[in-house]
Amino acid sequence: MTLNARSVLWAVAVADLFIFGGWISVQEWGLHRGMEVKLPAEVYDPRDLLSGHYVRFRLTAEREAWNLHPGTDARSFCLESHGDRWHVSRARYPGDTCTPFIAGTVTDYRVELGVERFYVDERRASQVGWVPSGADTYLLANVDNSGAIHPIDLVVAGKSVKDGSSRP
Amino acid sequence: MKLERRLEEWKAAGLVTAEQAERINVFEKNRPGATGRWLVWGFVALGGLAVVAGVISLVAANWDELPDGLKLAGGLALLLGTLGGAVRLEGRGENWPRDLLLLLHQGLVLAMIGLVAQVFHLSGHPWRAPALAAFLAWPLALAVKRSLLTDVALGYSILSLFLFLEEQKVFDSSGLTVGLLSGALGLVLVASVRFLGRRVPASAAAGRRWAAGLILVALLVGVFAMSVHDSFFRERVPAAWPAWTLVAALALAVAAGGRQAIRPSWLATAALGLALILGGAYFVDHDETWLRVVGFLLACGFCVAFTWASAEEGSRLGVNAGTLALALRLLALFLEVLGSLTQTGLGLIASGVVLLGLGYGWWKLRVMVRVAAPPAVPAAGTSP
Repeated sequence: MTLNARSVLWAVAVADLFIFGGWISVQEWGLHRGMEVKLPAEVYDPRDLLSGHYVRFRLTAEREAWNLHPGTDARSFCLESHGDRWHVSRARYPGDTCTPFIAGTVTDYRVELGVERFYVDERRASQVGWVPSGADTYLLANVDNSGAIHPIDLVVAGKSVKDGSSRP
Repeated sequence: MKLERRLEEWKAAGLVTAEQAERINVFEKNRPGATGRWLVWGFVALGGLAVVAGVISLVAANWDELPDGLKLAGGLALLLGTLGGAVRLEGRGENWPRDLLLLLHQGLVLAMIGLVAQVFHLSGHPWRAPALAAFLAWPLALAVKRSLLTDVALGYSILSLFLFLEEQKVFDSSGLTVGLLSGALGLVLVASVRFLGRRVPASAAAGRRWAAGLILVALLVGVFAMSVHDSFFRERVPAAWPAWTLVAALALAVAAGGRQAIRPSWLATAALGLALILGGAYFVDHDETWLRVVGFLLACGFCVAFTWASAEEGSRLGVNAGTLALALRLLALFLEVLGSLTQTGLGLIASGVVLLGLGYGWWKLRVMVRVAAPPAVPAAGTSP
């Protein structure tokens, strides 16, 4: 190995630290500094054994944003509360100061908010597998000031997927 | 084969004298650490593997008990530890422990991405994970010039590219586009290997392996598309633009080859392979039986030409692979045409009897016709 190769290895180590450290820091910051919201969700696939145990869901906000999308080129959307649940109210344009808001990617057929899986403790996976999706199904999350959603817990039919406790 | 048996054969062929054979035997048996070294490495490898497997089992058993912070810190420590270990192992004679750590690092990057996604419940574009893994794998592959590390970096890059194309809805459900673009990418790699071969031989070796694999995918898709029984392609959509992409990549590979002389048998192999792939691309929506028969003949012709070219090159692996491919294609034909296993079995028995007869006839012919003996090799130590 030459000195040059050794430098490359150190550079990759720094890149590892920068990329993963930065990624984890951003997620932690958003999780602890964002605004807590309850976003209604529809659970549509209980779990996938190949990728660990997780519940797949679709946020109602995605559908609401998509319904707004044809008339706009917006990539972020303002939220407003209906009771203790939060729904998309309108498209958000640069300069708009509405809070909280969510940001996503618009594809040909949907708005993707980057949150559609909630990983489950393996010991609770079998219980989660057959929990039906009911009216009290929502994602408890923090929304940071860039519009990113940081999931805290998924509540399916009034029960926490994380620890099994009842949640209104 | 044991050394003693080899030496006996070499003595019989006049390659070495009895005295030389005895000296070689004594030298090999008395080589310092000739057997002990492998024994030590065997114990070390087995012990190390047992410890690693045990740690993994313990962590896996208690995975849900571990706090997220500890999992993330552990992952990051493993990433940095493997790199630090690789730097420390530099200059200790054996390079494989260092390269093993770097290989582990390349795998751990993808595992770490999955771990962060799991802890923070993230999901997103699937191509991004292998793209990031490739971004961190390439510098290692190029720095230590080990072809296995380049294999991993290339694998991540190709996976990322295909996942991206999948997301862009480039591929049709039949797999025809995947095959054609695989072939095109394989040919681009062939062209790249021509440029990189002298500068980075290890990367070139990995590039050749991936190029062969990708072109094989294209050939297999061509065989399926032009098969007698083609129900696999339900959509029946000719893939025009991916076929042109493949032609452009071929032009690039030919241009990169320069004026290098190519054996006629390899040219024939390439022409038959190209006809098979492009035929599949253009005639996939045609139902005519004669086209399917042409497809079958092209596949057989390609296998024969490849085997022939490999034999001329002296590649036993190539000859075996070509013969095996031809046998598989013939077997597939039986299944396609005859349909049931009983009929296929009877057909195979009949074909086998014919082939045995041909073999016997060929053997009798060789017995009757006196074959010229190979030129005698002068015995070692004797002047010609």
